[in-house]
Amino acid sequence: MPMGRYLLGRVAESVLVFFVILTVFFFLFRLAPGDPVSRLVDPGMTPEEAALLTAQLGLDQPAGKQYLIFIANFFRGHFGVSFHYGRPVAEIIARRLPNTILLFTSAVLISALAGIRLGKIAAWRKGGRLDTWMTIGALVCHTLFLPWVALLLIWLLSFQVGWFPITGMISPELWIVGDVTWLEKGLDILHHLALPLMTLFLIHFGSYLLIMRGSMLETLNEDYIFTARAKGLPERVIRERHAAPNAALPVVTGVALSLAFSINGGALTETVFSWPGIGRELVFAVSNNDYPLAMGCFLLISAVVLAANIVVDLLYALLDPRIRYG
Amino acid sequence: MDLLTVDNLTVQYLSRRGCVTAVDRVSFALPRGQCFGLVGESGSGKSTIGAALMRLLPPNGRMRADGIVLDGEELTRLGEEEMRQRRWRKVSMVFQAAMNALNPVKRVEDQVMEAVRTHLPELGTPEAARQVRQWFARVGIPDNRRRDYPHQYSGGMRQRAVIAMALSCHPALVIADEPTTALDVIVQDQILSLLGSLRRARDMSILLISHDISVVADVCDRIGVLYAGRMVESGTRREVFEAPAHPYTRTLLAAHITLADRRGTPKTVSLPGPEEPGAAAGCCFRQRCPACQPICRQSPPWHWLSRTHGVRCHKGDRST
Repeated sequence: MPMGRYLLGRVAESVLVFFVILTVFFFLFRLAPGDPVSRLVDPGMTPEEAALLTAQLGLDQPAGKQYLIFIANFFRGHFGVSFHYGRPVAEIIARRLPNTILLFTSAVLISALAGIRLGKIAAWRKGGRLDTWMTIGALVCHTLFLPWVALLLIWLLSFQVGWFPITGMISPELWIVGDVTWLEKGLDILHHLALPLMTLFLIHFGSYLLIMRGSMLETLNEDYIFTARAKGLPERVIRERHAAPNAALPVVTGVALSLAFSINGGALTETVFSWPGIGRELVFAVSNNDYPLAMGCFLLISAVVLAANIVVDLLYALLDPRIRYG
Repeated sequence: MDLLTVDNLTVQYLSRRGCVTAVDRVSFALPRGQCFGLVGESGSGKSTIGAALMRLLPPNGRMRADGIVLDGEELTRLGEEEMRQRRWRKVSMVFQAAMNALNPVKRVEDQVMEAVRTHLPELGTPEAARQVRQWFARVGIPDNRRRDYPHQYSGGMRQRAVIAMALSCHPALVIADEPTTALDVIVQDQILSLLGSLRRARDMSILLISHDISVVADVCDRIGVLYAGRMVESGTRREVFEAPAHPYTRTLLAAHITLADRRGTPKTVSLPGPEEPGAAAGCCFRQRCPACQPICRQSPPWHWLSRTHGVRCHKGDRST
C-alpha cells in the first residue's frame, strides 16, 4: 500500500530530524553563557556543598557523558528534573500546556475562521468599498506591534473602563473560597481570556484575510469558475461551492501549521498578560539556565511541529483529490 | 424560423490604454437544427462573440446589439437573474478540454449532476441521476469512470465529459468554442462526429467556433468568416468553399492543405498581422489584401451574392 509506505517513510524521517534537533539543543545550551549552579548556590554555602550540588545535578560530568545519560533517560521516559523547581519537567509542562492551548488554539481558530470568511467576501467584491476597507484594516492590524496592542487594550478596557481583569488567568480570591461552582470558575477563566484573545485576534486575523483574499482572487480567474457561471449556477453557489473550497486549500494547511506552532505560546503575550503558559515558562527557563526545563519545552514544540507537518500533508491529500502519495 | 439571430453585435473592451473594439457590428442567423461555423484567426473576436451570447463578458467588456434573439426571446433585455436561468437551459457551451473547464476537486459526475439539478429541479434526484448516467453512456464514458476526478481523465474523455455536461439540460443552442483544439486528429474526429450525431438526434443547433477551417468544413451547414472583429463573408458551406468571394477567405482556403492536394506547399500569407480590430478606417483586410485598391480606404458595404451568401468587399459583387 503506497500510502502506508509513504507515511512510514515520513515518520522515520521526522524521528531522525527530532533527534538531530535534540542533539543540537543539548549542546547549544551547554555552550550558552551562564552557569546554572550559580543561580541555585547560596552565597553562604561552602565550596564542598556547592560541589555536591553540582554533582547532584550531574553537571560535573563531561558534556558528552551528560548527553548519553540524557538520551538513556529519554528512552526510559524520564525527561529530567527542573533545576529551579526541583520537580519533573513533564509535570511542569503538563500543568502549563493546557493554559497555552486554551489561549492560542482558540485564538488561531477564531482568527482563521474570521479571516477566511472576510477574505472570501473581500475578494468577491474586489475593488468595492467593503473590499478596500477590509484590506486596509487587515493590513493595519497585521502590522501592529503586539505588546503595544496588548497594553493599549489593557489600558482602555481594563484600566479605564474596567470590563476585564488586568492580568492573570483566574481570580485567586474566587478560587480559594470553597463554594464556587465549576460554571463560575469557567466564566472567570473566560473573563480573563477575553483580552489576550482579543489581542491575538487583532494581530492574526489580518494575515488570514489577506491570504484568503489573494487565493480567492486567483481562483476566481480559473476557467472552471467561468464554466460555473456559464452553467447558470446562482452566484452564491459559485462562491461557496466552486471558488471558496478551492481557494481555502492553501489557507487550511497554513492554519494547521499555525495550530502546531501555537503550543509554544507567545512569550510576549503570555508575559504582558501574566498568562501562566508554556511561552512564559520557556523564557524563564532559558534566562535561568534551567537546562532540563528548556529542553523539555523545546522538544515538545519540535515534536508537535514535526507531527503537524505530516498531518498537513495527509490533510492536503484528503482535501485535494489531485494529490496522491506514492 | 431561425433559432438565433444576431443583429449588429458590437463588443468593446475597456483598457487603460483605451477602448478596443473586439467585435464590430457582426450579424448572422442560425437556422434551427443547423450548425453555424465561425472561423477566424486568433484575435478575430470569435470567442468574444460566444461569451457575449452568454452575456458573460469579463468586467471590462461592453456589448451592444440591435438584437440577439434566441428562440423568440430577446436576450439583451433580460434581467441578470432571468439570463442566469437561460444559461445552460437554453444555450450552453462546450469548452476546450485543455482548459481547466472542469472543477479539479469535484467528481465529474457531480459537476454534470449540478447542472441538471439547477435547471431541471422538477426531475427529482433519482431521475436526474438516471439521465446523467445516460449522458455518460451517450458520450462513451465507461460507467466505472463517472465518479472519477477530472485529472484522472484523458484529454479526449474530458472533452466527452464537457459535452455530456453541455447537453445535459437539453439546450436549444450549444456554443462549441474550439472543442477539438487540444486533441490529436483521431480523437478530434471522434469528438466531431459525436457532436454531429447528438445534434441530429436531438434537433439542436450548434455555433462552432474554430480557427481550423477543416473542422468547420467537416460539420457546419453555414460558415461565417471573421477578420479583425468583422464578419467578412458568410454563406452556406458549399457557397463559401466553392465560391469564396472575399480575398481573406480565398487566402484561408489556399493556406489549407489536404491529402488530395498534390501541389506541394500550401500558399501562405507572410504579411504583418491584422491591425488592431476596428483601428483603421476602410476595409479591415486592406493591408494584407492581395487585391487592394484605392477604394478600399473606404469602408466596404455588405453585398448579398445570393439569399444566403454575402461578402463585405468592394469587389464583392464582381469578384466571383
